[in-house]
Amino acid sequence: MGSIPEFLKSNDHHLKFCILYEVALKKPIFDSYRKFCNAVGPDAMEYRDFEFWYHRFRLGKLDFNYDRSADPVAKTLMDMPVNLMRKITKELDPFERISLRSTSRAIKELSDSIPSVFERIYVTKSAKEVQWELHEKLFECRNNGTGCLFQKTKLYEENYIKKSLEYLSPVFKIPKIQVNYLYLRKMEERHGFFERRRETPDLDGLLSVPIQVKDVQFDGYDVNRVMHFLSAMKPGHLESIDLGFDGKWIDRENFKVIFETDQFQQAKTVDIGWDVEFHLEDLVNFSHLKSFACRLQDDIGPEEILRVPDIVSTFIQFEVCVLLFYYDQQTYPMERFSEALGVEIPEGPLEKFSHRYQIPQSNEYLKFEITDKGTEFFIVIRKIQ
Amino acid sequence: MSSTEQGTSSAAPAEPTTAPESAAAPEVPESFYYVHGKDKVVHKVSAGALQHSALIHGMISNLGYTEEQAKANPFPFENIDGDILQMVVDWCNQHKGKPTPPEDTNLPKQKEKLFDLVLAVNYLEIKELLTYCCKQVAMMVKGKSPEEIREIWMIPTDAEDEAAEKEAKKRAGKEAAGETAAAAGDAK
Repeated sequence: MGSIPEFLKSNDHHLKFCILYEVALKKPIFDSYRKFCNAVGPDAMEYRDFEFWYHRFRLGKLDFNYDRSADPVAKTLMDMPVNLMRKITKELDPFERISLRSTSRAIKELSDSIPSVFERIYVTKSAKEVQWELHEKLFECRNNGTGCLFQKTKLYEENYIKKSLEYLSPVFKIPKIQVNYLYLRKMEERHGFFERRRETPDLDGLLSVPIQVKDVQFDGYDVNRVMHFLSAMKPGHLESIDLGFDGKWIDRENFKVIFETDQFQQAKTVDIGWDVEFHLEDLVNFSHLKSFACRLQDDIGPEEILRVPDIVSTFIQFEVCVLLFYYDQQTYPMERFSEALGVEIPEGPLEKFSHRYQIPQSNEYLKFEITDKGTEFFIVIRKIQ
Repeated sequence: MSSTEQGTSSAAPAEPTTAPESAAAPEVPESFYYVHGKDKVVHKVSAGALQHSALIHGMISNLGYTEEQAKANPFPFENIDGDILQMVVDWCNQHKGKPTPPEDTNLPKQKEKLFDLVLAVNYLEIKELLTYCCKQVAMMVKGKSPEEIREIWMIPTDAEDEAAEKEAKKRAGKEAAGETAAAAGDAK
């Protein structure tokens, strides 16, 4: 058996018959080359020669003795001027460029000089698996107890978190990487609502170098981990932050460290889930934002309600915000808000009412829309002319 | 230079291959120009088709050649292989006066010539065709591993790069030493 490849290699025509066979099967050229190398050895013929004969045969030119010596040498990527190499490289998506940059130092330099823009990256982690989506390609690495199963086909002995990071970390280390939307989600299993959660290891090292992210959404990570990830995102580039804690109660005192980050202070839009209950005095932390959403303490009193427009009207960049309250049936808040704001509402259940507040010494208003959703209560405030 | 199997020699430019415009339409007759590549095979191309090339369009826009003058003065593109120029001319003819589609299915399938085509198209400043060609080149390595990309695009490894650099330095050193020796000889 070992002598067959040697026999095929011993005669140029034998090799060309192998190529002709592949052409007859109409297989993609590189797959054909791989098969060819597997059969006769990788040193039998270079890809560019294989490609030459493959295309020649495909065009019906079957002269095995064709003399190529007079042909001009075909150009390769390395013969291109830098502007053309860049243009070609730009046609690859950032994920494909990861493979390209590993080919050689010179190509790595070229590839790294081009910003790699990822429209969105999702990374979801649970005790069962890590899933991630890059450029609409979905990847998964499942925890199978002793090791992991990657993309349902490849078994590895390594822990699933370690293996996932092997794939993911290089993505976030691409020089000049820009991510328009990054979603990091941590799912923790529990059988009942009051059951203790099953903690899963964190994706430490996922963002180990500063990256440019435009919009980020966190779901299920605690404040420490959010701080860890946020610190890797370049302040100023980060425009929007969306924070959810998957039902884990976050004390507002613990949340203060996030207010103090440059990333938060330079953002334009912030959305914080219902897991943090802020006090009225915390609203000043949102004064630089165009829009925000957060939950306020549920037992807000009439005097505090009246202070909301006073506070919000001082926010220079402000456009819109959503304030959320929770209540139980005993403390139905619609009357409390209408009385505080001086709005007359009909008796009985009411789903929505609105109110206008003129900003002092200005021709602008704050329009309040107050909506009762059963157990939740929203105030949407918009600045209008 | 020998001429290829296709086309005609420069001594006898090809007769118009473009179908004449309808006799009924009293339109201004289309002007034609002539180009040749390294192989000296002359191609007759209409000004409309040549508009795709910013380089040639710039060259002919103020010439006002008569048919005879144009025939007598083909544009020489000695840096472009004849078969590559043929592909470019074909593409220009196919897309004459038409809006260029976002994806082009008429691109040459000979991938081993694609880089030569990219260089020629870049030189002739045919913007849309250059974009298509670059996309086509990029398609060659889609989904491939670094090792496969290196093979397909003939990218030398770092070790090969270093060896080539060393060799070039050695050669440059030898040449410099040779020049010094020659200069010393002259001085004597």
